[in-house]
Amino acid sequence: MDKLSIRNVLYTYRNKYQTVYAVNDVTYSFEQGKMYAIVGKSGSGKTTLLSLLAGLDIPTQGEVLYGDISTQKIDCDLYRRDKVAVIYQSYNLFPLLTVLENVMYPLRLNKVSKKEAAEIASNKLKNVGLDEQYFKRLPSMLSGGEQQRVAIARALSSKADVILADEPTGNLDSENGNNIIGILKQLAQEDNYCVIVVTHDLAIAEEADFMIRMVDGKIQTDEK
Amino acid sequence: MFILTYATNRMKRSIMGCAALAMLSLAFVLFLCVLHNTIIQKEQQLDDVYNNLEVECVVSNLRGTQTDNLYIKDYIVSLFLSDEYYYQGKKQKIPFSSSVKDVRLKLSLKYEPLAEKDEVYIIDIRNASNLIGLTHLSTDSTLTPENSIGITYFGNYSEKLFLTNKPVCIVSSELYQTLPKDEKGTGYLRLAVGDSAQNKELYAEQFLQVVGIYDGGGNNIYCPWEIIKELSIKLTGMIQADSLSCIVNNNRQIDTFKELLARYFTCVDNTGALTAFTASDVLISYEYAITVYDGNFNKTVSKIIDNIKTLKILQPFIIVIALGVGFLASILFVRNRKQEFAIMRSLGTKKGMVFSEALFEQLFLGLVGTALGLIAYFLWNEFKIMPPWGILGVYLLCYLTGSSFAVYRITQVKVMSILREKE
Repeated sequence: MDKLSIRNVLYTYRNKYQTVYAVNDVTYSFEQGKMYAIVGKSGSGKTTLLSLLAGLDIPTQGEVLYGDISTQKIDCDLYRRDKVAVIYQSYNLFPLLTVLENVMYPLRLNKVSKKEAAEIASNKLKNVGLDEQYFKRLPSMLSGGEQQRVAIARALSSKADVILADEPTGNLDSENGNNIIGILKQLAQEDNYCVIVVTHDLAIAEEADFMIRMVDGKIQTDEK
Repeated sequence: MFILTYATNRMKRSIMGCAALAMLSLAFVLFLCVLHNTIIQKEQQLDDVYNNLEVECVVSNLRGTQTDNLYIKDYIVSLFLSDEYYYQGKKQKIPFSSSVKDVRLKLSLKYEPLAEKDEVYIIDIRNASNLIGLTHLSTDSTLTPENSIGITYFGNYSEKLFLTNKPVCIVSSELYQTLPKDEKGTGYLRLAVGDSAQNKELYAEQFLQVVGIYDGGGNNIYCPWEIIKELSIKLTGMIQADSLSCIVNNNRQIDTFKELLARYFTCVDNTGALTAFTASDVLISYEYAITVYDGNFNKTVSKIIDNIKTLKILQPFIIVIALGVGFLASILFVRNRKQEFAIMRSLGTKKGMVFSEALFEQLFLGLVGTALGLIAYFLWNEFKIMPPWGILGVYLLCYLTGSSFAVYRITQVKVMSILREKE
């Protein structure tokens, strides 16, 4: 069954001169246990598509379905809390919370007790290869690769089974980038997550099960 | 609850920024309190001047050159002693006595001493000595402190005896030696008294107990004003005075009082020059002048009033500036956190929770700053003048409105666009 799908989605906005069709009549389905890479030039609509999938934006027309439920009919805050998790290029960790507290945040938001949340967060951090010595540190004391691992651990600590990643390796060197992609691939293949990665990097895209190429707001090719 | 823990952790780790915001509130709260305090203090100072600065009025001759031996007539003296007065044949209520306090009067009559069981008879009243009735020793030029004449009172008597109606007197130490004494050693005087301004047939008898002596010689006898007043009524049917002065009772009504005075007196300044007092209903011809010594009072009052006016003009501007700065500071503080709010939103935190977190933090820091400001103010002021609670409330309200406005604006912006700003 499709985990996440988009049906005839259109997303437009007006700039100073014209109406821009950021996503133009796109239909696509994402399955559980697969990794997808959305590639395309800047302005092709990749990030807008990701925003729509993450429930951070509502389509102008068409619908985004989680299972068979439209995101327009559910509470988007709860959708982002429980169904999808987003990883960003610039990590977007809370700068004044420790590594452990950052990962605990989605759990605490879901009313998990502090003790239990700390335990789950520690395990998730260990799963992405971070040693306990980092747990009490603030994100600014970590390297880019380490911060991105924390961001992945935070995504995993929620109940979400869809992981959306927006240029997750954009700020990392190739070694760290490969490691992060390795983790994401493992999440799809071994842990049955639906992973959707937006990237410029074709080498990374080739690691995915499916590569979706976007041009001018439309999906041009869908390669396996 | 979780969001409060988040806010607490955040504040602990951002101590400098939070302290700066709390300090800003502290500074403005302290500033608003001190400004309010200064205005209240000035108003109290003004009240103090109105209530306690003594403005003296002295009756003089028309040229303002003589204040003693004026033979002030009954109708003038009565003005200061009673509120009821017959003016132009009609009984009128004139608020003179209620407008003045501490009326100082002096009248001297001629006397001759009488031996025990003597008939009352005055040989030559014009050459007799003076029996001086007064309310205060200072009304007599020979007994003023500048002349350093020592006075010794017997028993529990003091200068206050002059404000009573007891038949007592003080005499010179030389005269005291010559007086007859009873078994307890108390000296007494029996006098035949006449009006120095009238003929010698007028007389009255007065018996006085000596309760004090003044240094040196002389035959002047000083007794309470009430005694001499009764003698004056007995002798002439009127109350007269040699000198009259008083203190204005209510300095706030001084202009009204001056207008009233102008009905009966020409008004001169202390150099004798006429002053510009005016009144609509005046006596046809004046016999006396009055000087109101209000120069110092006016100078002090106008200075304080000027200060209060300046502060009251400045106060709204300073309040508006404080409110504006509080508003802007909270907006800027919250705007600096927009990335953080966007992360919270992207993780599924509801707008209301983000709003509560920001508002809790702002309110907490604002209250801490306000509390510290109030503590500093109370330490400085020692609880004498309460802070302007209303203004402080408005300050906090503006500060919170600023925060709410900023958070509201931020939550309306697309989360993705904020999160991608860094990239």
